Amino acid sequence: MLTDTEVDAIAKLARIELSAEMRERLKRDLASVLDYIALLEEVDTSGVEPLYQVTGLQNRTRPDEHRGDFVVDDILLDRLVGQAPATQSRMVRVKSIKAK
Amino acid sequence: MKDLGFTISSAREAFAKGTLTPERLFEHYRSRIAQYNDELNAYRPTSFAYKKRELDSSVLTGIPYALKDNMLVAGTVATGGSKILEKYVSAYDSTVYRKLDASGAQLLGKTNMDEFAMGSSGENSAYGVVRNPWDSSRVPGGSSAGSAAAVAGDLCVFSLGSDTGGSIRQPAALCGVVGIKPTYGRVSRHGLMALASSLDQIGTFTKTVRDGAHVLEAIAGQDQFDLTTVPRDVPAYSETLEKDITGLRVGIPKEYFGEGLSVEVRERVEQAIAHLEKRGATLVPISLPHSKYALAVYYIIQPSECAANLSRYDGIRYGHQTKSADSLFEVYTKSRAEGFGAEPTRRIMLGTYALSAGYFDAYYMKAQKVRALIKRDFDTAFEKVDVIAGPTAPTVAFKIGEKSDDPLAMYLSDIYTVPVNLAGIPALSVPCGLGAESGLPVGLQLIANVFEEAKILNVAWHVEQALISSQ
Repeated sequence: MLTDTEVDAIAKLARIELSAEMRERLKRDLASVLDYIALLEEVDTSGVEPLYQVTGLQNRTRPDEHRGDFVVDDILLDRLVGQAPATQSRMVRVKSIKAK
Repeated sequence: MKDLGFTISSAREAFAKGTLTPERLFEHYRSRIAQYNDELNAYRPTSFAYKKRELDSSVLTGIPYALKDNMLVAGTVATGGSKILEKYVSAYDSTVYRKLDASGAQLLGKTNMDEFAMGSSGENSAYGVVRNPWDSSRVPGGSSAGSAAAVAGDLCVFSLGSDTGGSIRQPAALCGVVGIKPTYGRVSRHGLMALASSLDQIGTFTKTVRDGAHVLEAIAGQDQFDLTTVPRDVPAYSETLEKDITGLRVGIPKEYFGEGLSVEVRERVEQAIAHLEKRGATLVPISLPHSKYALAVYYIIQPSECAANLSRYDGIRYGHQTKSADSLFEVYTKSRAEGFGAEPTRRIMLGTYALSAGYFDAYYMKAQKVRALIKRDFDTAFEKVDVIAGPTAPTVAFKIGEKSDDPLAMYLSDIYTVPVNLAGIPALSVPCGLGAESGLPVGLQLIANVFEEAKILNVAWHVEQALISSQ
């Protein structure tokens, strides 16, 4: 079982507010998954390199050219910027980052 | 098995004879959706207009299909099964949609899914539970729940899904259809909402193996917009389906037939394997010794990548924004709390924990090392065998609500599919009959080495033929 303090610290890092009910549920659920994951401790991985990806392709880049498939017209602008919940003349509006 | 309605092959035949037109086929499916979707909840309400096309040599011209709602079509809503994207309008097209559109296929609609593709039952959508067409009190599997149910319920000819740990193969097995998860890097993910980027792959749901080969040919290939796609030609999968399998070596991993596998699933899977032997294949007992660790590895890597990918849903640029925040921090925390369901929250929390300072080496790094060992198991096996055969899921479709209170029990339904994503290799699920006890479909999983989709499609075709001739 995780403690309230541990769960709250993770929630803060994850930027999710937890209801009291959800916090109780997560204390239980996370603990059961973490117990299961502890199974990995028995595997000897000394000398094994981690496998982060499987294709073997590395540092791939596309040609440094204008893609040409995105024409920024009013429709596209509306779909990109216009979907922000708060906007101000073609810009996304956010609350002040300074503490009150 | 039951009659699943039009296939690509049968629709094309009817077009050629003049007994059917693409427009009439489209209307046929529109009216079936209107009639049956209330019960199955396979489709989201977004609808698409019929595009008039001349019949040409493209196999997919005029064939109606569905896309999982985590794939984008410009100008239309894509929710990813989440409330946080309830009103999100796609700004651009996914590559798979562009390719299918160019091949003449006709989009019918977007399918309901577990929220952000997290789930094994179709019960985690913000838009209600998806039901199994074989028995509506049961789950269709997940996360591509609606895509599987739409094909099995004959509400389209084919559909696309995404598979991160079994999300195509497991619902295909539970719904009695063919589901293909291609090699990582075979199909572009441009315009697919990312879940776990080192595991996600787009694939197909079809009624026959041949249809699966046709659709895979249409969507596979390198894409400049997804740099994980591999520069390799796409073989003509549909031309090698009927190849003789005499002498083909089929590996039977003992770890896939142990505890947890239901008797009725085991019976059908063993029968299908026996059919392959009758058709000339050589059965080779093999071992994949690290299989038992795959699920634990998956439930570190997947939530970790998911926590990073889902950080973009913050209520600022698009999607749901809370109305009750006093600070920027609260905009994030409250928008996410209001927008995400229980399963994304659980996995974001788990991933954030696994990646946090002090735990990274113990969890994430350890998992990536065991992942290397799981891959090595497959590499060793493929020195001795051409394909690997076993069950897709441990049981047939379970009851709605049966596992929803126990995340770990739910996760165990992916025990045979998860290792494949960790290794990045291709696999498919092909129907191999009905369970003796339940009368519900069972899937055989076939696995091959990277880019050897043609081999498993060839073997799957033989499984399908054996099933047809045994009826």
